[in-house]
Amino acid sequence: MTKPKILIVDDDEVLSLALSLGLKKKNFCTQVLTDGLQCLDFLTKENFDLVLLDIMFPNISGENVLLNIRKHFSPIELPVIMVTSKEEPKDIIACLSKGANDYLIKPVHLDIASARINTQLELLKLNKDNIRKSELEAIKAMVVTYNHEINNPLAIALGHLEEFQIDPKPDTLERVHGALLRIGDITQKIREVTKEEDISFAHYSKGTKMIKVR
Amino acid sequence: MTQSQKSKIMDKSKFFEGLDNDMDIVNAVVEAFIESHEQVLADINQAISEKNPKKLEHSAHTLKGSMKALYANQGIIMTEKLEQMGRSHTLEGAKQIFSQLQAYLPVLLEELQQLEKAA
Repeated sequence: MTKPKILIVDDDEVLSLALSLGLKKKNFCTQVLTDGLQCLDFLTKENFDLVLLDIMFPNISGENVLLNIRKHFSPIELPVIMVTSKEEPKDIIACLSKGANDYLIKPVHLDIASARINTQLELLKLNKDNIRKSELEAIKAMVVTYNHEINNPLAIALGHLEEFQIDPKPDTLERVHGALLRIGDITQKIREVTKEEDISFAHYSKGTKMIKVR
Repeated sequence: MTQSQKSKIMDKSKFFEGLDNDMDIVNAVVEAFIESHEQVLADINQAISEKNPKKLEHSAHTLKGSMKALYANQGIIMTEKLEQMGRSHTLEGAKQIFSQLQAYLPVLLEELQQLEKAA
């Protein structure tokens, strides 16, 4: 199993070293960055599972670094835990309202840090599992829907084709053509459904769902 | 120095507990503080001399973070005061607190060096 990758962004060498060594011993993979300005650049080049972010840097505030991160990563894509000496409720609320997932007060207790990181990583995993389930459900429903939609005109086309072989009348061939056009319409709809961002489901039979085809 | 005076310098039991009582981490953190504190202290001194409140706020905040990591109680109080002075742009009395901080640091360093030796 790969170790979760944690980016520690803090200009305090003592605290960042304590966190980095402590979390490594708790089976995390850590990287330390002392400059808040470099944080976003770093995150776009390398994948991390979570960021521990200080609230104060010489050239930028941690809140602004957080806002920059949130322009590119949502709280469910990349959790950010603020690490702060500021214990005032207004400072904590300001960070949470700007998109921080949680906060840790300095001095950081390694067990508390590890527990809070694990909570966020667990939520991240649950969210990924839910997205995967929804995608799978959508694919299954699509297969059921189009299997049904294609089967009907296909049966009609085959029936008329057999009829045409026995009694070749032009209007029978026209019905075959009509059924094939219907299949053509359906394949067009399949192409459109793949572009849809919002799909609604309807129950087809017990335990089976279908996509609503407009 | 009495035990109660020593406990005011830093809370060793909390310091150890916060680092999982792991002596490798304790030593690394002590080393990092010994190596880095002089630069931060110089930054604070420069900020006071230049009457630069922003720089004072930031450098005192950085040292406060280290003091908190070490559970160095007196150091936390002094750096907190300096940070507050920087934030409120009132540097009056900053030199005095800086002198107290300069006097406190060798005592703290001695405590930390003893921790290293004991490990």
